[in-house]
Amino acid sequence: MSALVQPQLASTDDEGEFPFAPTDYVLHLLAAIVMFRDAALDAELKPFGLNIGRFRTLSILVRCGPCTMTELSSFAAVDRTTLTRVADHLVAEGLVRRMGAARDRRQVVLELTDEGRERHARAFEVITDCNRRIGAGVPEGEVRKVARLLTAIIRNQTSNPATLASLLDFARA
Amino acid sequence: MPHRQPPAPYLSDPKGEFPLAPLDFAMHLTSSIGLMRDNALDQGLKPLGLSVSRYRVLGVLVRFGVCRMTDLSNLTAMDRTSLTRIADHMVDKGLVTRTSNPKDRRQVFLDITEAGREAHRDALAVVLAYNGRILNGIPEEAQREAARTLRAMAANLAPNAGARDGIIYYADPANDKD
Repeated sequence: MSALVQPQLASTDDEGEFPFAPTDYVLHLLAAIVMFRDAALDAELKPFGLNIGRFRTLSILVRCGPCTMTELSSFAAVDRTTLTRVADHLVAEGLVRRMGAARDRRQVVLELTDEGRERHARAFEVITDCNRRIGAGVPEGEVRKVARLLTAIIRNQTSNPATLASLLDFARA
Repeated sequence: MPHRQPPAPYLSDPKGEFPLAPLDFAMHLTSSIGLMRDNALDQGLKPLGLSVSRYRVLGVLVRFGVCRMTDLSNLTAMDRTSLTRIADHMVDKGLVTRTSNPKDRRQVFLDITEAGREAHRDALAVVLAYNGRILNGIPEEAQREAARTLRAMAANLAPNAGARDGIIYYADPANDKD
């Protein structure tokens, strides 16, 4: 036996049940679900003039109320560069308006317009329909167990209180 | 702690355990985890000249060798358009090589280079460390149970049988090449 530690070349499941170690398989499946779901939703949200990124941003304004770009970024858990592009689009479409000091962009508050709230509510059905397809045949007890595990993952991913409240309590801290 | 009623149009959890109906909450958490993980891994892989998407492609090529674009799409859950863009970049960087079938130029194959293998080895360490960190403290049996449920959910959502089996079994695509 060589004394050299061989670099790990792949993740494997000792019990042979999964193609990777359980930890890596869970994250592999989550990533695949996100990609499948985002692709499906991007297509289904198109008639509403939205895509998944725009819907997600509207959703934050629905649950957290008017917020600055800095707040929006921590509520969304995504970087500001992406968000700025999305916010610009939503403002141009009349779904979101910018309120407040023109001299200090950091103080500018984004809020939903009536049209934005209505568009979000109509598009919401597309999201819940897609979720129902994903959960078809899965008992509610199993969905709850998954949701508990996902909550634990998020707590390991971030300790930012604003992000945690937005994601886990679906509200402002 | 009971949750407040969620804002309209969101539906509440009848049992009050979660702030939303369980399935909607699980999907909200799933996409949040995906966003945060992709961001974190993109940052972590940047010094290696990789992104999480490029890492996924290299992972398939290390495991299975030469692949058709269709196989790569099925094994990474990525669409063909994104894959083509990623492949262009990786060919430029010398991480993969691209060849086409002389009898059918539309059929394109990718293979990994030695530089690609090295980059993948370093990237794997970054990815496995991050995965271990974010599932830290979660018992293995709970992970296995969740994996079985998530596997059923991914199968429900896959756009076709090839994508479903590629993701769930991560099996060698050569087995179904006639």
